[in-house]
Amino acid sequence: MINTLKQLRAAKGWSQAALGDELNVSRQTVNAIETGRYDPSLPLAFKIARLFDCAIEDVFSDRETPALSADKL
Amino acid sequence: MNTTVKKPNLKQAQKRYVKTIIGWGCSFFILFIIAVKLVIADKLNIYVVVPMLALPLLGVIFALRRFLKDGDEMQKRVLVEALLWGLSVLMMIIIPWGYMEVMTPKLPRFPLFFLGNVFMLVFLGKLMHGHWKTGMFSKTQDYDPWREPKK
Repeated sequence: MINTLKQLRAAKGWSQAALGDELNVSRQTVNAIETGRYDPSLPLAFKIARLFDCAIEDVFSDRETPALSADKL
Repeated sequence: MNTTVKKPNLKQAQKRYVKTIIGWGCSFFILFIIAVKLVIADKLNIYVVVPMLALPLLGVIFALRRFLKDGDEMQKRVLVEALLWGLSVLMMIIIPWGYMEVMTPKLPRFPLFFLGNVFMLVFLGKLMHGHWKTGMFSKTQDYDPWREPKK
């Protein structure tokens, strides 16, 4: 899975810790998702999409269908 | 009707988990020291001591179970992976050695003391490795200034 979480977070000006607090997960989890070392559960993916007011597909996608590009953010 | 059950705060869950584990771990060692002294002095039956010492470990298991319900999902995965590694190595020793010990007179009895230590060693090693791999020990990768959107 690839994702645009880092770009979305940067656009909001949030730190990983702040985003973790919003999602009720640890900073470590945010970091691991951003770096592609961990794929979140579906409830967490929904939570992330809701927080950034976009669809899950805009944040997460498989390697073949890239997520929303940074210029569209 | 909204029936959403609010999950406990993550930080509270983590603190409670660490406190409980430390609490039960310390009680095990205190009980262990008392038990050894009482058994040596012939004041306590050995068959009472062993289940008594198992109680704090039951507490640890319940703390783990609670953390698996309330904790952070990635930390849960790291924890479960570490437990599986510990258990797998334990089984790799127990099953071949245990069967051979029963079926053949040639193998010496495996000291049980080592089994717990082997499990803890593998479990803690894998736990640290899991946390290291997922970036727990890396510096906080906070908001990158160069990504700041132009105003």
